[in-house]
Amino acid sequence: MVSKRVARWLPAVTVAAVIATGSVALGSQAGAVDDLPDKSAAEILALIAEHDVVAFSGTVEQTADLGIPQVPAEMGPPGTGSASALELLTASHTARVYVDRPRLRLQVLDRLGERDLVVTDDDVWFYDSAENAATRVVVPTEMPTSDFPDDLPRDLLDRLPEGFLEELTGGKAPGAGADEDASSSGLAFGRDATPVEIAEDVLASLGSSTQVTVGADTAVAGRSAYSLVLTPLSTETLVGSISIAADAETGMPLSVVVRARGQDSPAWSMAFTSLTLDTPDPARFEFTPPPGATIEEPFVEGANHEEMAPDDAAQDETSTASDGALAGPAAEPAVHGSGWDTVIEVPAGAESQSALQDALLMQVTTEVPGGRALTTSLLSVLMTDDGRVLAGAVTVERLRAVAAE
Amino acid sequence: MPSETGATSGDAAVSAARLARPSAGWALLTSELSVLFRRRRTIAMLLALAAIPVLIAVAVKLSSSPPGPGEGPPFLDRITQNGLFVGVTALVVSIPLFLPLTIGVAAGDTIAGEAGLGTLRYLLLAPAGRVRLLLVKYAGAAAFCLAATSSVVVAGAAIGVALFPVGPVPLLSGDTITVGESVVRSLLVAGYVTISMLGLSAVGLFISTLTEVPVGAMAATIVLSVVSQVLDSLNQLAWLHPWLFSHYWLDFTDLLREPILWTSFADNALLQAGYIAFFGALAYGRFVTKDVLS
Repeated sequence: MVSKRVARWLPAVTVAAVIATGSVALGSQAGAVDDLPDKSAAEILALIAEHDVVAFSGTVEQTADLGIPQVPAEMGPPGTGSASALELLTASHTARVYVDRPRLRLQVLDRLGERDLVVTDDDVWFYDSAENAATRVVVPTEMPTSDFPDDLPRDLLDRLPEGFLEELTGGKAPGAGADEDASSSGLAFGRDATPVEIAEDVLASLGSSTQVTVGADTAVAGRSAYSLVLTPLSTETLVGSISIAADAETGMPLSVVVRARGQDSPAWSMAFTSLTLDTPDPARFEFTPPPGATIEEPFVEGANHEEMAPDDAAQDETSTASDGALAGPAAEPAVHGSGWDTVIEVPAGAESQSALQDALLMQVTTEVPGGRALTTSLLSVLMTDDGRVLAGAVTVERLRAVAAE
Repeated sequence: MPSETGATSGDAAVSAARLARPSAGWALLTSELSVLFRRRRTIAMLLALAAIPVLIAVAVKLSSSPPGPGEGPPFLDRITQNGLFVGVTALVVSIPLFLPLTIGVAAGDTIAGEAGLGTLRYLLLAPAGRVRLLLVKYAGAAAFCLAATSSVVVAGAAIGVALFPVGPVPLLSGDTITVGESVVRSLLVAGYVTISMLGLSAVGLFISTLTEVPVGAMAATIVLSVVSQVLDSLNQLAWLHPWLFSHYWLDFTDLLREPILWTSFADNALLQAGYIAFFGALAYGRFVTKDVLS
């Protein structure tokens, strides 16, 4: 009698056990790592710089835990301009990426919506399905295609402190137009030294500010990858470490994880969750706005590539440490310090004054002596009472010290 | 009810009859479906679901200013440009509450309804056996899921075609597809939403075996669907979200991207299959040895 009562629940127990085992097995399978031949930090750096992947498609996942309250996308005000671009960087997202250089398509998969960036041979479209609005920008011939967010892991590499990879990629300044794309950048430095030698030079020059170590081999999007960990030696920066995973086969960066000091979960990460190196369907790179969509062509007259999409300004503001790439068209920003402790100062301007009136901004900032400050786990922004804006991946105390200078 | 109550007495005879006549299950299923869909309550629920797209379309048609982007439920602004969006808008509106409400009524009623009416023991006298009865009852609930979803989609398409212009359909990605392709996508969406509701139906079936009061089982099922959605909206419980049966409900819009994003379809199907297996097994455990007194 007792055994019969027990037996009737056996199927339920079995199903539960199968589900539990299955989910555990799937989880450990994802973490399975091949043992790769050992490489030095310089060799990995050279591998990344040399990568010549021209066409791929995949899914990219971005997570952000910046220690600020996250407004759910549906509840926030309708995204406009830089607010929407900032949201793109500071919230968690999943996106599909199709690249066949120089053509590109990025699909940010929102719930019940989608934001698309389509770079065709001669124009750039941005489409937001929630607003049913399309924006078209004609690409000037010198437009840098490598600055588009498809390549954020690589893009971030380009923005590492102290001319980190710039030297490798032929001295291109971050944010400013490098007319080479990834396919040719690998060739730029092959003239007088091997990539590994140049990488060693770069590492030596970094030595005083950053500790570069080789992390444990890892697996990203089912591909074996080397990982490189950059740890700032400065005590004033908020950045704990930056790890980059590079595909063992091609050298393509597969993930970037930025950790903040005193926070266990990564502050910001971007990683492929799936990747194929096949050339995507050409139909992905064609775009005709759907009937009924509002179409804007903001830069149709005298397209000036200094004032690019607001995305770029936001990216620069949030990049971990940028050496003066915050290109405001009007106010010339000043740069204080170097390396991880870099502080960017934007002089008082009409824009910063009006921003101070913004109610939302008042809510996220806190009162500090001499102004208002926004602190996140990676970035601090100080708005002084006289209208200057200082920002950097440093503590507010350092911003105040710089402001007082 | 099935007519196979003939000359069977004793367990051996029952199982022999079961083996000899696999058609007994089909007969039971046919009778279950005809009882289910001839019930006034079922017809009323399907009509109420069909009324949602009709209400939306008529309201938009009659209003003097068409809704702008971002106003009202998602896709509402698209309706005036393309009538085929009525069904999608109606689905987004009905998935959080109306659809689970009707599913909860249908699934909660399965066993408890028979018990409440006192017909359960007569059903069990038939040579069908308890497992087969449970399967048939679940199949009936699943059929209702399909009918409920279809009534929203079909009524939406019909009223949309009747009131608004129809043309190539823009997808979320900004690409457009022909009307023919959009019909295929609509069928896929109906399939997705039907599958999405199967897990809830299994939960309802299990709850239904616990009680003889059908209203209690219906209410408990509906409450669980709301609880699941509330938990899904709390960021602090992110680790739990992939395990909630309502987690992928609104991701049917992944079928409206170009190219179609199949991962949510697969994840959803796997999740619902897990719920069906687990709660089906629980329902089995409860039902096979339940003392049926009414």
